[in-house]
Amino acid sequence: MLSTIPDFLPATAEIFMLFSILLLMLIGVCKLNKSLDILDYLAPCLTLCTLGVLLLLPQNHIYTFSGSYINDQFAFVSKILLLLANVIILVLSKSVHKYENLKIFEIPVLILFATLGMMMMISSTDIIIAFISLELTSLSLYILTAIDRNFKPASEAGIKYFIYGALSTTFFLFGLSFLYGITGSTHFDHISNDLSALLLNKEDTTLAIMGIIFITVSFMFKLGAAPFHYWLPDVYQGTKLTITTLIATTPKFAIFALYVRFLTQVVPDFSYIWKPLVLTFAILSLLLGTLGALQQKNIKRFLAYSGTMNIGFVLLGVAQFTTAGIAASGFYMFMYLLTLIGIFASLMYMKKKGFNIQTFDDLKGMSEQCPVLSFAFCIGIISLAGLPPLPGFIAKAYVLYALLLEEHYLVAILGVVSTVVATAYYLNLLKSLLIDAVQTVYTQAAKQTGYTIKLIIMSLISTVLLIVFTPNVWMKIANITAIDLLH
Amino acid sequence: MHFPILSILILLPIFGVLVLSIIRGQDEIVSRNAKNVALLITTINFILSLYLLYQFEYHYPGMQFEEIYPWISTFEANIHFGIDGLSVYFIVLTNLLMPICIVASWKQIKNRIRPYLMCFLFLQSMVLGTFCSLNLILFYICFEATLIPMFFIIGIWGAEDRIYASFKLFLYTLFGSVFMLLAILKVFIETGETDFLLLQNYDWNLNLERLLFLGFFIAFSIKIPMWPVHTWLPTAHTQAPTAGSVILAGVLLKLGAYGMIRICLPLFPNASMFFSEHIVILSLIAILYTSTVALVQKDMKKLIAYSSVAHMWFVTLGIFSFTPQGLSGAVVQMLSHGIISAGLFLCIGILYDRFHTRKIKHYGGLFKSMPQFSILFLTLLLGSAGLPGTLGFLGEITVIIGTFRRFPNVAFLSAMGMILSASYGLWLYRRLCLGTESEAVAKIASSRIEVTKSERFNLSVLVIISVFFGVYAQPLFGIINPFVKKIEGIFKPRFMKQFENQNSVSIVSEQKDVKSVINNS
Repeated sequence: MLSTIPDFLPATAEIFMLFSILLLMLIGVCKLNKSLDILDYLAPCLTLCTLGVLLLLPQNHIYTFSGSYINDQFAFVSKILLLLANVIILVLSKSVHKYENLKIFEIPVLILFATLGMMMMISSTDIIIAFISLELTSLSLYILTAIDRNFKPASEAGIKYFIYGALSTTFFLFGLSFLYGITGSTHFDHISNDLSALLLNKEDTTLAIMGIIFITVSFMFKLGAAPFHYWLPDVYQGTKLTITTLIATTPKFAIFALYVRFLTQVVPDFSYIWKPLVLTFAILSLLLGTLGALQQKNIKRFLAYSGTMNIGFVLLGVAQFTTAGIAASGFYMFMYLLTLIGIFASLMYMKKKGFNIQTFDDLKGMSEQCPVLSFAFCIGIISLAGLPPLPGFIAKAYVLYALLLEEHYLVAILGVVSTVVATAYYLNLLKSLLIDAVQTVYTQAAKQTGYTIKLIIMSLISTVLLIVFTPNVWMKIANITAIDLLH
Repeated sequence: MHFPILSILILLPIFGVLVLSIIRGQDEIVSRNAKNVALLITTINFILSLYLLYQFEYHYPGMQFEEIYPWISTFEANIHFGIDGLSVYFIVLTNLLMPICIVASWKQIKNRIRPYLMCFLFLQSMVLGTFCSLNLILFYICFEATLIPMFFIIGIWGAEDRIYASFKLFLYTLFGSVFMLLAILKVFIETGETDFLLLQNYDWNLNLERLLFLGFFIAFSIKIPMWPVHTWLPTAHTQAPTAGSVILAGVLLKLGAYGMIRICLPLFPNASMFFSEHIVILSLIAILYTSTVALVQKDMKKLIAYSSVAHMWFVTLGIFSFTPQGLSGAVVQMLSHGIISAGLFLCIGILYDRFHTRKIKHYGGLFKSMPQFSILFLTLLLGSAGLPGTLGFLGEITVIIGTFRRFPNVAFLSAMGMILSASYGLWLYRRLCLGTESEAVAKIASSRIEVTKSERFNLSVLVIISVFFGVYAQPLFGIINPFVKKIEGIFKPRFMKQFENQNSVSIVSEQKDVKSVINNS
């Protein structure tokens, strides 16, 4: 089985991505004057090309690097979603960072590095690769957070992000070392087999359980689930809008994917340990996220807390460890990503128009300034709140359905009640946007056309509206992927 | 396949929203065109619904005009529309009130008229969807989606305390209906179905059935609204613009009672019977309490709002008395409330437009300067008080007769509610229209004070409908009867069983006596 030259085919997309990054770095270093413009256009194009490569890959052939790398259905679907989201983020950052005084060519390069890390994360079936890809993503994000040297909050956010991230990495490594110590292997399958043998022979499993707990805690840090969510609001607030968009969306998705793969393929036999654990974190996230968001006045902090709350919902689905649960949390994550990018894009558009939106009060009168955009913003918020008839509701109902299937009635009631409380603050945002009268008279808005952002927002919103009419397609994809992952 | 008239009824307002969103031009032209488009769309919808009524088979008890399209297969949620004798009049009522609302806000709403009309059209579509849907998930989605436009209508175009009112409306109703969502999901998990028609004969575990019933009942009763969580309604009504109040009282409150009849009774018959006595007592408390509270109100819109709560609880009284009279009376009461309270809110709106106050003490002697208005107002108030010859009488008396057969004491006490409603209604009328002219009324020249043509038209339509059906009720009862017979068919065997178990022949004989008394009278 071990040949000297590994089969590179399943990893072609990542390799292509790596070479594009090297190319971009070369261009960035050589042509100093125009390099930024070229990079801005080249980065999304190359990401799209990566997507093309991914789509062209044969599906029959999924393992490589002696089984430590996988490109199965789950990885395939997640990567498509990830790459599409990152293309959108790259295009958004291209059109905005000129107005944020961020003329640095490293931004697209670092975003691509993070993307590469996320792709590897989704595909990894070996703890070393998982760790490396996690670090690749995290390091790129630390740098991106603090990339604006002249902006003090950015440095603060960068430091905070770095320290918390490093801490969670320590936890991760510590947990992994337990698993490695017990089984003597770094490969997911081997670890899984050894651990089940451990259970079968009724040997002492304390170390394995400790390892699982440490790894779970580290993932909770990265996902921003309560009670490890305190870094989120500060980091969101301190970073530039484009970077916040990146931090808030795709890494969470990739980490979620890795975590789900870890739970379902490495430690499925220990589900009696991690199911209650994840459920606890999920409930805490629902409660703390909801209560935290109630008092926020700053939109980014608010979105951070609401992110914690939404992650709570995602984890509720994961904690069921059923096909319906995993599919529901995947679908929920997808909807969350879609609407959140839409909301951030609307904020960027307003920024480009010359309105510096920081707090809820800054949104006042926006509905008169850009009515179409506020409509899009509205759709995003309502879908994020999970109110019918928008698809956020379908995702939420799916998670609740998965909960009720496993007869977690009290948790389901807690979930819906926290949804009601959460709706209160989403409505608060809508109130600032649409109901409150204009207080500040804006100076003449900058004459930026911003057709790209408009196009992106419109396509995101039409996707959201499309899902209302074709929920079957999307839910079926989620379901098939979950079945593939679990069996 | 036949002509998909229900889908067209539901989609036409959505189409209107799209048309409104693409109107371009100067503000004035946009607002004029938007109003015309909205009026056109709602009028077409009204005509279509009259056609629907014409095509409707009166004696057929099943669903008509059925349409089914696949939708969310995970929950077996198909887009399944269909109407029967219960829903057809509500569709007509909704479509009747919508053009009236738009005409009523023609001059009243000055800023941001286009989103206002979009909200109304979306609301109409969702309300029609609720009345037509035969699938629990679809029903829930439409039921909930009515909240979002209502939130904006109250929040953006309401009076001074509008934000508080809109939040209260949204959160109270949402709190109730999330339990309905859980109940729906549980129903699906138990049975694998979410279609009303297929669920009707399911044999539930008794405890589960009771819990599920409660889940649905909480949602519907908060919408009606239930005492003691009724407080969202008076605030919402006082703060909403006139058309918002009209649609809230006329149609949205009906959604709760409609859901009870459509879902609670046929799906959970045993639980309904189990809880019926509690609900009847609750209704009685609500009727007497809210009527008494209405007596002491200083704000006339709040007074009408409380009276509206009281009238809606006659509906639940009728529903949960489980007699055919009670049920058909409940439906007629819903329709009459839809017409009459909508008319009353229009009247209050007309007064508010002229004098910019809702306090009763600022008014007096309106009859002198507004004779036409006062007569229309009086007719509506008497209808609300249940004067024979109006639709209001018909609903209340049938409900009371129906209740009398099972709960004579409750029926007696609830008849007190009618007396109270007459007293607060007539007292309001005396304070508003009779007596000497107050300062505020005297200040405005009488030529500018009388109702305009469009206002007169709106009110007259409602008054004529109320009086016409009050005198000639056959079409109403005729359409409802097949449905009522079907429900009776569900409940009669259960009651017989109950009587057999209790071995109480006396109740049966008593019932016969009551029947003969009613027949003789």
